[in-house]
Amino acid sequence: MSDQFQCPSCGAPVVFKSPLSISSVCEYCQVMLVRHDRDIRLAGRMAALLEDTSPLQIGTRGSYEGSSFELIGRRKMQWSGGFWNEWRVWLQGGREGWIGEAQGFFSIAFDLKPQPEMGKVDRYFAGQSFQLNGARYVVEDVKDASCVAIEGEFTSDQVLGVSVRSIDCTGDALAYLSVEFDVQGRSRVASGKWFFFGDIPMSNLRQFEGWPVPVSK
Amino acid sequence: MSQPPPAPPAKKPTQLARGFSCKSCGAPVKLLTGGVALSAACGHCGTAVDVNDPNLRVLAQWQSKMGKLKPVIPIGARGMLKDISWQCIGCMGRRERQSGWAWEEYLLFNPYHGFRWLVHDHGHWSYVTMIKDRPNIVGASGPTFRGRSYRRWAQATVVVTHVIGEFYWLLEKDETVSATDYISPPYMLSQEVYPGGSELIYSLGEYTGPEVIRQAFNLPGMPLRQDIGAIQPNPWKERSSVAWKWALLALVVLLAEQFGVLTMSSHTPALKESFAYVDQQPDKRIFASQPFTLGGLTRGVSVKTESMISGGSLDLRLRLVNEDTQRSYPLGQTIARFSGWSDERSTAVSTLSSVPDGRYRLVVEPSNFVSIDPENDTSGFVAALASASPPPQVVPPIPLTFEVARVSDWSPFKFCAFLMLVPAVIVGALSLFYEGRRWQNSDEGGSSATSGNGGSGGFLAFSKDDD
Repeated sequence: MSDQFQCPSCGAPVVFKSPLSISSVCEYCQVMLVRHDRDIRLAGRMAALLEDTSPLQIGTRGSYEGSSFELIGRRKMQWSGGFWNEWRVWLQGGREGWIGEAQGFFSIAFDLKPQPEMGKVDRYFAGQSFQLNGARYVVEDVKDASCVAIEGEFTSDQVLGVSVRSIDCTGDALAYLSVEFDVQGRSRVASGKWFFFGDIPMSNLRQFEGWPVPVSK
Repeated sequence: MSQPPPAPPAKKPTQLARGFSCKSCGAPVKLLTGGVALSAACGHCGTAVDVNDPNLRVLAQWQSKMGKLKPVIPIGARGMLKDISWQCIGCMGRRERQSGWAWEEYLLFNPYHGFRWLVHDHGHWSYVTMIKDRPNIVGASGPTFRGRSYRRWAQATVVVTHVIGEFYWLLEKDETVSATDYISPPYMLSQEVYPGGSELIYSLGEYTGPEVIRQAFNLPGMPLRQDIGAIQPNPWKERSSVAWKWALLALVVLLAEQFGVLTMSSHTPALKESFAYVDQQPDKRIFASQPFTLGGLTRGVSVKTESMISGGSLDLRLRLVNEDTQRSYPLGQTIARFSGWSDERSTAVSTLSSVPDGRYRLVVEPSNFVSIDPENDTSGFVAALASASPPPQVVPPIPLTFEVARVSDWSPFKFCAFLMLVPAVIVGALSLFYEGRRWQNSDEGGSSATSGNGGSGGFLAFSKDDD
């Protein structure tokens, strides 16, 4: 059962789809809202509006490994050479993951449980290979980025503006590993796979003027 | 909680296309991707800007002395390739720094599928997808990727000479890339290493016929293909392997049949008859056998003559004579045995390759008995043969036994085998010749990469334009 609130700023309905979410951005007035039990509080105003060029959007649905999912949150990351999007994926049954999306490349990943010890942040560089849980990975790129915009709901109210070092790694057969270090040097590791648009069936995609929306098989 | 709530209603479609005036020359610059692509270069003056920067920060300028790039596929053109609708959003001229070999790369965009490249190299096109799965590069033999083995084709330092339109990264002037290409026609696997090893990009190109590109983008004409493209499919290769497969299969069948025939036809002789030749009696000098029948699966006939001849040699003229048609099949034999030899018998076997079924007689005319008595004549056989005069001594009767049997004949087999191998050999040679011409343009093909570059000054996509 999702929790529904009213935006204290504009009165629009605010829905928390995941029980793990504590914050949400009002989709009408872009204020940041944080929930406390049955209560919702204003926690600031979003600075930047998100551009709408991603083929995905909040509410895009799909199915992965037999479970249907919905995208419920997005953080836009900026680095010196551009942007990427990370979409929070809420799967049927309560499992959660991330879809990364940049320039037509997609990845889907789920946080490893338990989280492995990844050592120091500065030991990773592009081209390096390492073993993790018996699998071999090659570091694809290392990027310092910060979250410049968010929409949808999150498990923390400290998402916007957070700086990270993001390390993308590739294993065998399109295996994907994301290692993210925060400024305190704490790591968060998620594993999954790279995919092309169309490999994972999705619906309720963003529509673009003059472009046909691909139909999932 | 386990079922996601119903999807919200669809929003209004997003408009991607927008435009701005070039910071340098004021010409209108169209943005087709709405900022998905990060850089845009003015088609008029070659000034590239960061499209997501509020002030359209200038990234680089490609005012080239080498003339303007005239794209074969116009920026903005749309076309269906691989069942996906693509829009050409950018065109980049690239050049191998050492050899000067130049080509163009067109960037294709679809808001859902992202980006692809069409690489145009002297009339040859390939559809290129950036890949995340890593090929398995082992030693110098070349990588294997998705079940195919690739051979190293070329390695070069590549620079960008021209840009028009939008690109998905922030363009930098004088960016050089070290590129290594591996081929397995119709595919090319490319590895690009950016300076300092900061980035390693793999892409997979697939040869695409110019007509496919022309029709997809509705273009009026295409630059002519020059030479053989690096990954142009060898039209003989498939045919060659098919021809060899069929030839070998047919050989196996033919061989099996041949051995089957051999086994089946190894039965008793059609004729086995004896005759005693007496040199001095003219009526005993010619032998005609009883009639016998030749039949069976094969056309070959063997005639075996055994003799108890001793101390000499006897020439035989034999004929198989068809009882009905009187057609005769002649052959000659010589039987010889010398008293010094340990063998009891002397045997001669002859084969006729094609004798039709029917009733036959064997007619034998022995002649020229030459006596050689090693005790008297130590000078040898040759001297004896040379003596034309008939031997003076009385020759005892010489018993002769004739056997006629059907045998397998290998000549039709050889003929069929030859017929089947001819196309396979020809097509195989054509295929090898084609590959030879292809590899002439490679770094690895014996000649250097520049040898294939002769006369490429008139690269079709460029023209001198000094305005």
